[in-house]
Amino acid sequence: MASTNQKRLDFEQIQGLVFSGYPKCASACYVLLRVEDVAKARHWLGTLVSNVTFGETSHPSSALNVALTSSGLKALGLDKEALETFPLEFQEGLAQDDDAYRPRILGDVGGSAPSHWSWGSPEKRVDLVLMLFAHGDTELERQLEAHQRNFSGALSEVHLIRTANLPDRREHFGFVDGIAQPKIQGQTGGDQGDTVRAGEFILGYENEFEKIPNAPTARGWDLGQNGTFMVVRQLEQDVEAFWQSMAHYAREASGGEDKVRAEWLAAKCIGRWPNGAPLMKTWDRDDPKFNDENDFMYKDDPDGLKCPIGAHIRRSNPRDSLEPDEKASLKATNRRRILRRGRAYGPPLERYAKETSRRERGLVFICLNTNIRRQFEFVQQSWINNDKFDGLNQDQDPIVGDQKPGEGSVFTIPHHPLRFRLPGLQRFVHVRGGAYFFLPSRAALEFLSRLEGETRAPRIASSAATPPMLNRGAT
Amino acid sequence: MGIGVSHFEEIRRGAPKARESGGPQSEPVASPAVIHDATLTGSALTVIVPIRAGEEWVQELRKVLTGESGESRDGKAGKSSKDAKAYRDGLRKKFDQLETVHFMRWVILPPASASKQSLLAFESNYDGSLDDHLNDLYRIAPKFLHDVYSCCEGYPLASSGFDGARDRAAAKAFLTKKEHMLPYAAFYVSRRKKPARQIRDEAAIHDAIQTFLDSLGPNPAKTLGEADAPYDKIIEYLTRAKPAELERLRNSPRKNPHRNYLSLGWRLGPLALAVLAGFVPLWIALRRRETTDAEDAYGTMPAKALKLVEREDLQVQNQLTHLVEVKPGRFRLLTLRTVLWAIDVLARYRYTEGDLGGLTTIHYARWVLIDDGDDGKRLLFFSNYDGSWERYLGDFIDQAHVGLTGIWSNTNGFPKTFGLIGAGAKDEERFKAWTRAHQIESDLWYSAYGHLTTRNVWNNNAICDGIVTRPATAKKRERWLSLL
Repeated sequence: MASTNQKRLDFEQIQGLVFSGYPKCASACYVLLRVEDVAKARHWLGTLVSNVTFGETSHPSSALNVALTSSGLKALGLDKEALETFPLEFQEGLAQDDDAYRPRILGDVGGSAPSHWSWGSPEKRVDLVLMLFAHGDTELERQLEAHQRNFSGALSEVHLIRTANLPDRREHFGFVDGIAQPKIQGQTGGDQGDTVRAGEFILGYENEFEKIPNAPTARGWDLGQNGTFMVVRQLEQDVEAFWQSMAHYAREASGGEDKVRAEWLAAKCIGRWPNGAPLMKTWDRDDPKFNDENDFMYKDDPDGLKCPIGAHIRRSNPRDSLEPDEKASLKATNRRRILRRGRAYGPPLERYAKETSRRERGLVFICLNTNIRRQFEFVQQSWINNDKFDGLNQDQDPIVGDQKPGEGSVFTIPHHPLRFRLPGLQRFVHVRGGAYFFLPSRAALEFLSRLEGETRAPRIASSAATPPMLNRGAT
Repeated sequence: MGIGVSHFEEIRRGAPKARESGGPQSEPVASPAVIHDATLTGSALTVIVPIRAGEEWVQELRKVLTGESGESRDGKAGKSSKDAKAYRDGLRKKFDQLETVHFMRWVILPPASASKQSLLAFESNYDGSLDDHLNDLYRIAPKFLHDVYSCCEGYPLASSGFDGARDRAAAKAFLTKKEHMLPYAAFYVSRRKKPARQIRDEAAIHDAIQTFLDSLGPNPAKTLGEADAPYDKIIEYLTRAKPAELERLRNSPRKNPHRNYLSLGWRLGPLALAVLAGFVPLWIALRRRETTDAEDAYGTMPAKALKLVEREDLQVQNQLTHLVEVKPGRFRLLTLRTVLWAIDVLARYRYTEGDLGGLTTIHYARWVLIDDGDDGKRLLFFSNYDGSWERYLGDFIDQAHVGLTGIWSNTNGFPKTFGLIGAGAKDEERFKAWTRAHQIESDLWYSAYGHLTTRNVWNNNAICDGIVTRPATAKKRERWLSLL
């Protein structure tokens, strides 16, 4: 994938979330905001820039990032002409009317339709997200309070999500998460392993088509350069239903209680064992030797006897398994990668446990890409929710698919001599909120904070207005 | 008031089917043998006729095709799109009774220039002879067709009702007129197709087997036994539960034709030699044009895309209608014709295994050249494919950009090319924007098996092959079980 004319990454301009999920920050929260007073909001943004985490810092113990929706850009006074240079899907936003196109292709239907969301729907509009990261809860709360004081009067809080730090990088179903992540070309110098051109994740650089991606402009100025697009979706996980279902199918398959079979079924659904060992390395029983292993392809397993075609990790990154051949598949797949930066939220629940009063838990799915339509939406529509994925007949992603409300979906586990099949699969992951954000560069943030509006003359940001304690977030 | 209205109202209100088959205007329902020439499957028919002059006829026609009234000319408020959807569902239900059709669509094409009329394009992929197909259409939807073509110029029955066999002959003659029935310039069929009826039958057999297996729990092998034992049990079940379907299956054609490289070389060889011989002057002529030809100004998606997507991804299959002017001058037209001819030969003799240069999701696709007289020529593209538009265009770029650039680089606004087949479609965002900009909404589109992908069709076919002929060895029967 090496390219001779690659441009050096402008680390000082690119928000730090692009390069790191901040593993040293155990605590995080996402504050979803709406602009109330344009002039004050611009001023607040101007003072914030010096606290934003940029560049490839060596995993800070505290960080801050900020991103805006199209309504946020509009609210700050970005003119129509400039807004129209943004991609259509960003202009429209993630949430539309329940029966519109985007909810349909993304599976945001039934109880997951935008009208039921806690935030991000047209009624619960979000303009901006403030993402705070700290090494511990006390520190996080301290920062949060300071920021709340700062933005009060300028912006109002639509929703606040505090993330949860589950042990061993696990998500709520109990599986180690975030193993397979593409590396950004130019981030660490060398081109080792799963490296993808920077233009797939950062605007202003060459992408996998060897082109500089289209970027938004304002008054002839490249607003996109060193920025990117961020998808945030709050996904509630029904842990109880998931493990009860697996136990139920295991009972049906074995004719009695069978926890080993239940875990086997769950692993087949995911494509990895709970500790992270991929089925492609060990397909019938867990083997800790392969935990976190990511060096595998699917070419030995065209029928899915090891890792089912419809398994979650195989659909969300098919690697070499798509038609017409391995080489073409890898090329096509690399043009649909996303950087995942999500975190869990809500209290954990033990496997097979039953809850008398249900508490919300799940994943704040966050991904970065330069082309939402070609990357995030494609993966969600053509791989995850596509019941015909790679020759399948009526299977959706057993973990995160929408399972066709009203029609029901199945999950097929190829096996000798006959397939296992789980009919009437229910939906385990429900959408509770979300939005498409623009994650601007340092220069773009400054530009936005200086926009002139209909209300007042421009106010130039001054770092003197920043409370000193907030400088912790700066790099 | 236009002629289509009575019929429109009838379908919208959900009039009982009996009126169509038993009413005074209808013809006797055809004998079961709709298809007389069973050797023909999936042929292409393209009929393009001018719509009667005046915007009101275009409006009227759109109403007959989509159920949407753009404006209310009879004083009533515009129909809600819910009504329109019910209307289209009604039409689709009616079309489900067709025996000869795989796919068909009607699209209103914009006029070539201000002084010209809009055109109505119809395409279908059909089984049997052309006459079998047209009779089938008029057997199932005579009034609908009459209403559609009453909006078109030169339709002989425009001022009368539609009455029986005599009028059917006149209508058929109108559609098949030389100036109306256009040949395709290139045509692709995903693997020599089975008849539509057989495709549906085989899907039903597949579904029956799956339902049977599901009834035995998540692990049916526990009941049916190990190794190849389940094979015979499944056949036993089908013999018991689906005897009629099984009988029909045994009588269906089972062989697939093979590609013919000899014929391919014989056809493309002379072209290759001619191009080689004239390479230098051709190259100079081409490069001169490539450096000066303008590409469309937009690099980003036109807002029109937002309207087009509303009618996409309603089922696994999708359609694309694309219309763009051929660049002026004889050089481009000749180049385009040559490339299309070569693609057509390749599609016929090389890409016969369901793989058009790496594209496996296309059921049928065709290019047709429309002659607009002094306004030049336009290139029309119809495709019936699986999955999302984004996936389809992605496949174009990832797998087939060479061939597609070879074709569309001869049309207006196409992204800059190098040497006819270089660059062009590889410019991802620009190519997608260009495609959307020249895409036309298909007013009425029908698929006889909209829930099946090409791979579903082939897999069901392979399953049924193994039902008709018992795989010879235990190993082969086990292999067959893995198809499920």
